[in-house]
Amino acid sequence: MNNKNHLSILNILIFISLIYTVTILNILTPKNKAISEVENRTLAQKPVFSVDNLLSGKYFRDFESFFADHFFDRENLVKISKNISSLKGIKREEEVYLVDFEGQNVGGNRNNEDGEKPEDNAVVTTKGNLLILNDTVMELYKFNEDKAKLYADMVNTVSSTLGENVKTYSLLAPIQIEFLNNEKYKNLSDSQIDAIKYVNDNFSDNIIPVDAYSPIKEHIDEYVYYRTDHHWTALGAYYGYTGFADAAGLEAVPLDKYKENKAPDYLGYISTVNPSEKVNSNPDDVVYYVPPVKTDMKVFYYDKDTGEKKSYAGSVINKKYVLLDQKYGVFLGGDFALGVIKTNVKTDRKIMVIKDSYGNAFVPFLTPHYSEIYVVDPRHYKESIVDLVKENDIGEVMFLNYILTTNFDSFMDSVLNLVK
Amino acid sequence: MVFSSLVFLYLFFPINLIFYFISKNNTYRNIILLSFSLFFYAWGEPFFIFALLLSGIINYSFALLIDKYKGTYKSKLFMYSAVIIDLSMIGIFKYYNFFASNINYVFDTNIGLSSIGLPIGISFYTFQIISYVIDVYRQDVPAQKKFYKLLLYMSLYHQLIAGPIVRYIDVANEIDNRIITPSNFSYGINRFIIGLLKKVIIANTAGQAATVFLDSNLSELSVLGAWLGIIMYTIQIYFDFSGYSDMAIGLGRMFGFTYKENFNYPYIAKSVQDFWRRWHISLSSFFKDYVYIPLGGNRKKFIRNVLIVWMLTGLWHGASWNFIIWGMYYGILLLLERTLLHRILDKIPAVLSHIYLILIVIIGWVFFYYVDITKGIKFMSILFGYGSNPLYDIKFEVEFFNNVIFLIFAAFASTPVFKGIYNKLNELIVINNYKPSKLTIIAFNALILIVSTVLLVGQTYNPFLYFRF
Repeated sequence: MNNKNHLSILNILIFISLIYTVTILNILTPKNKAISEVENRTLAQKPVFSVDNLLSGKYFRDFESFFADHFFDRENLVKISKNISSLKGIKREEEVYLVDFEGQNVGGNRNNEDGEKPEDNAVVTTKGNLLILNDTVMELYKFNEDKAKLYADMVNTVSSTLGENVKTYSLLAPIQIEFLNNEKYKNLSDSQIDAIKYVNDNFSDNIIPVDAYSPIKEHIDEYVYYRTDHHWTALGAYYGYTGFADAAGLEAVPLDKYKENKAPDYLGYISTVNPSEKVNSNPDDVVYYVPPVKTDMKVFYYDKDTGEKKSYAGSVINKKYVLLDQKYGVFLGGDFALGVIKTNVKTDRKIMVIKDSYGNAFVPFLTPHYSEIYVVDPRHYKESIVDLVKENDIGEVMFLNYILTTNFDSFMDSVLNLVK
Repeated sequence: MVFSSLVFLYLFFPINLIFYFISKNNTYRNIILLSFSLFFYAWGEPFFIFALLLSGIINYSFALLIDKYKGTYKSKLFMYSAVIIDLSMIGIFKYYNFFASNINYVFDTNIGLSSIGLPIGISFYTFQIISYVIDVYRQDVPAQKKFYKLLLYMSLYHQLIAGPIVRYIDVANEIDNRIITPSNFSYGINRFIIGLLKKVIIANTAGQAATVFLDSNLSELSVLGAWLGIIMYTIQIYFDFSGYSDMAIGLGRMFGFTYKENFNYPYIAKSVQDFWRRWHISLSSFFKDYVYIPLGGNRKKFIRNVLIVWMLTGLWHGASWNFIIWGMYYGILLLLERTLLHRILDKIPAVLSHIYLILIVIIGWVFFYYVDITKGIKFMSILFGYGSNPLYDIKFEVEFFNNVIFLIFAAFASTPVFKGIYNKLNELIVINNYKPSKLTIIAFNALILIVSTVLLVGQTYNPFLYFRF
């Protein structure tokens, strides 16, 4: 045999043994993993065979996802692949990425607690842009005049439906790109102060705007935003709350009256879409503050199969989440249709908060001021809030959303459905 | 299923290899290959496998009749019938909605649209089978007597889905007799790995960067961003498609088939004519042999013939106007080169004709990318600085620096530079009649296979661009 053949055979042997080694390792890899923590999603499961599935091509498509999702040593390979991908550019002083993503605007519910809280199906798919600057992932904001107007109109409509006797507040929480001290990258995002002003200017006279912006700006050097998550921290929410206290004529309870605690090693919702390992190697702490008053919380949800309304006992600070991946869930225990919090505070004041997940870190700070707090998530709740307000004699309503929600018209539709 | 998927590399392919090589006899091997090919097709299109089988039965029967009546008018009649049936099938599946909606638009009619969808690979297998019946009619090759062998030719999974368009005449002999030598198999591995590199490492990376700009809000796109986006797409489409052809050629070699080359460094061409001799060679030669020359070639009604061929080339790529425009763009440029430009192109320095050609190609991809023509025009106006779009923005800066090494690598990989270096090393370093650079190929193959696998695991999004056709 000549040299050429030797080399050919060596080439074949190496190729074939690589292919078959991986094939066999793959066969030996257990296929029962349900969730990928790293990616924050459920893994594809082995498809169920049926003739319909086969003919439509669904069976094979699903099998392919199943095969890929349970590939040998997948999570490590995904990490290595990020490192390989980073070779395609040159490192500059700042590590910067811009990522377009499509996500679901529903937070915090993946870790079902023994089936007591099934997923609701009011999921809003959103598209967005992220800036990754060194170890921080930030959402970008684009002002959309029509939708911002729609948001203001929505609040106006709810307020006028509830009548003048119900005080209506609106708090729009800014996101951290607004306060970035790097003008160059900050300019990727539109001005939020202008957008908040635009929305506020479109409110009818009954609406009381809450200025969360100024106190957050004042304390921007503190840990008010996460690096790996799009939410504000509880501290950020606290400063937002001081803005609310000013608007509502309340005296803000000092933070040192709360018992501080933290859940370390948090990789937030938006850390999964980032191409940089820098973010993942520098996780956040979820600091939470236990209110100085007694609270009793009941959570309502709709059964996934029957649609029947059910409830369980929740808690304002839900410590179960300290040990889970979705640590932001420590606040109220995530998102759900309706939460009713009763406190031992001697007052007649009752408030309803219509909120996205920014509300979760905020609501615990309301507990010293109200006897009852109704937390409504319009992405899940399906009943009339007019009835809710009347039946429970609620005197105040607050809209608490982050600035990007003014771009989600389906969110506004969901709210309007609650006053029909 | 695509070759650059985990399920192909680590399930389908290894199983196929085992079954193939434990069958010693060529007939069994053909049956194995046919079964795996049909399964491969059914993986993506379980329903349309019937369209494929039907087309196979019809063309098989007609070819036998063409052969039987060879030399008589009947033979011609059968040949035309088969071609018309084939074109009708692709017409119904691929072009019905396009024509119906255009007729509806022009005549304000209300012809119902079909919701059947497009069988994967129909453009490729239809052209293959047309070349077969015409070649039988021309008596260039005898009709295949065994149905399963013809079906094997038609459905062979190496080229079924994204080409190259293999002619029956080129593989007729190998269907019956093929010898697989270690050096052939080893060459097949080398080609397959090159294809994998092109697809997984280059095309997918370029594709990600391209969509960042091409699919963005055009009113905010910067001029440089537009250029970077379309250059990335230029990279993506070449490496995607030629990578697929490499994998097809490589797989063919491993199983004993020799397919003709489909690409020859098209981006180093110096004229449009040169480009089309290097790009998707199996398609342009199909149109040349079965449309252009029968129409009269350059001897009679030359301009008409060129325009027909290029309109059809455009339409072959997709049932929408932007592809027709893209085809006509090349048709007109070819005519211009033939009549006027060739005098200039012959005289100017080579570097200028390279720049001329690459600009033509890059601009062509704008028509190709945007199915929505108004969007394409808008993009084009940004490229050339009309309108109020900024020249430069941060998005461009970020993507540029994050991809600059990749860009340089991909640009070199579009030329024969790496091949040249390798050949030079082979020449220069010879120790005891042994060429150590050949060993580096083996290590290279292993490395690329591992890296591609890792990247494939990292990439969830992995469709082949040419699937639309």
